[in-house]
Amino acid sequence: MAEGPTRAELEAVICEKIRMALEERGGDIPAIRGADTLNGALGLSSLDLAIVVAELESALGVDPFSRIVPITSVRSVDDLIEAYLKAYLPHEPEADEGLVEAARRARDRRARQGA
Amino acid sequence: MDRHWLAQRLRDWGSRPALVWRDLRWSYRDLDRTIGVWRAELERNGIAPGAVVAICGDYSPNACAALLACLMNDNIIVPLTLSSARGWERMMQTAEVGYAIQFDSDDQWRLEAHDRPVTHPLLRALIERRAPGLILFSSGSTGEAKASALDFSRILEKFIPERPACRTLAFLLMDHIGGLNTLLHVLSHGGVIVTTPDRKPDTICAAIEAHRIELLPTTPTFLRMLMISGAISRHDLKSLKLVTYGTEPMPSSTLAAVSESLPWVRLKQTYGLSELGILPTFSRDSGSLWLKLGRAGFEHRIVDGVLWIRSGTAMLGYLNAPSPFDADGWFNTQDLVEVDGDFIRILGRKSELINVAGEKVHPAEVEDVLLQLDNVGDATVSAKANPVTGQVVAAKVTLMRPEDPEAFKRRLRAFCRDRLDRYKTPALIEIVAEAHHGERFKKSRSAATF
Repeated sequence: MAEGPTRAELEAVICEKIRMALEERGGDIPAIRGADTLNGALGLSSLDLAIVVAELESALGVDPFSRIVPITSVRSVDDLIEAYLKAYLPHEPEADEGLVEAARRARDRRARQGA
Repeated sequence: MDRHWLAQRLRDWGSRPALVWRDLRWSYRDLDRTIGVWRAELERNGIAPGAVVAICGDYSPNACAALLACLMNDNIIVPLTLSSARGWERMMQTAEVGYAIQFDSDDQWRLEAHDRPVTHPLLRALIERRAPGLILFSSGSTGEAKASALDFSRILEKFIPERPACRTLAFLLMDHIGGLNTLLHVLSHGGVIVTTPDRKPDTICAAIEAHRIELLPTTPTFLRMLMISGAISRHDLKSLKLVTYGTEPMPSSTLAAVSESLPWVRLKQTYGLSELGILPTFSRDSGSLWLKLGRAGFEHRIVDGVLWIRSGTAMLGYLNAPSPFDADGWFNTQDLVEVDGDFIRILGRKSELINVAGEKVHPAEVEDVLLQLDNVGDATVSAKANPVTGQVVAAKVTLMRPEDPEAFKRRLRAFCRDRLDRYKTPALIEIVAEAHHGERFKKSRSAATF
């Protein structure tokens, strides 16, 4: 896998895209910090966040939310940065939780039948 | 040999010009004589009524004559054009083509026989009642093209009553229901078909000027290219009386620009589908996107904002897909419409709707706004998957002159802010150099996949 950007570089791009979305919406633009919650502190709506994610995919060429990170786990600017950092890391295919659960039930069934 | 009513009609027009090809005039007498030669050629090659014949080419004299000869010979005709040449083999298999007549750009031809028995029940039904057939392939770019099987005699019926015809430019291709409708309308009413070597704006405008074209049947995309190219100002188009447009929604900005540039021309929206035929239409006025659908041979109704049509010229069915008609013969066009009394306005295909967090966006509405922005030559809007809102609006834009991409995107978003709801504003903007349409001058939204 190609080497990705550094955390600082990612942070700069992400903050720029958030700032752009806030500018388009109008009103005051607060300073953007890593701990800021996207919806709470920054006031990003779902549409704002959709625009930010679309812009980031276009700028960075990766989409961490298709397989690696559930978008619902992203609360803050730092979470967003972490999600994109993960997208650049080599990653194992995620285990299918449904399959794991089915295998566990099958094991239990066999154990009960054997008893 | 039985005399077909159309053959008699063509003979009656005598020395009138029928076809202009490479600036050479073919009279109705020439055309009638060539049709006779072709009918003899069909007989010589054992091409009996009911045989499926592919006519591969453009509107050259021999191709037109061969098509009409096959029609009068009660053949099942499969018109194919070079724009779909890569798919010919597959199309011919689907249509069970027994004979293919290919015409080159010099109107030279060769005939190939294929060992394919006609087995499809819809084609067998046409053969049993000795009706000429027509097979049209959809131009959709996703999946296999659907083959509509039509009874050609039903399509032809509307041309029996005599009506005025004019000097018409053959813009829509011969494998398109609109192109065939134009050809048959003009020839059965004594008008002139003028062909061009290509469909570039300057070529079309030069032909309009040289041949005093009165009717240009075309598409909104071509009309936009006409405006962008500036070809209108380089040619005298005063002969034009009527421009008809269809096949895709017309942006109001394009209609306004055409109306302003050609104020003496009546602009009329057409509506037709290969599954149904061409409906008679009446535009409220030249600058209006509202149209009334005629009732002769057609019925229509609106169900949940979608246009449904029942037609006497409807196809018998698809050769390679289940019948799309309901039990009462109604066809869901998938076109979303607005209604104002007797008039409707076509908003776009239901399948092209973009769903942004539950809010529906018509690509045509957004494209219309983008096309009003300075330096935008063309714009195509489509859906882009998004983890937050399901989909967002994405736009591919072609610029007329170089501009800093980031500055342009800011300018575009600012422009949209006052004209569109925020969820309709493109979240993703890509500047592209390539054309947004294919040879048919119809916008290709599938090409706008991000």
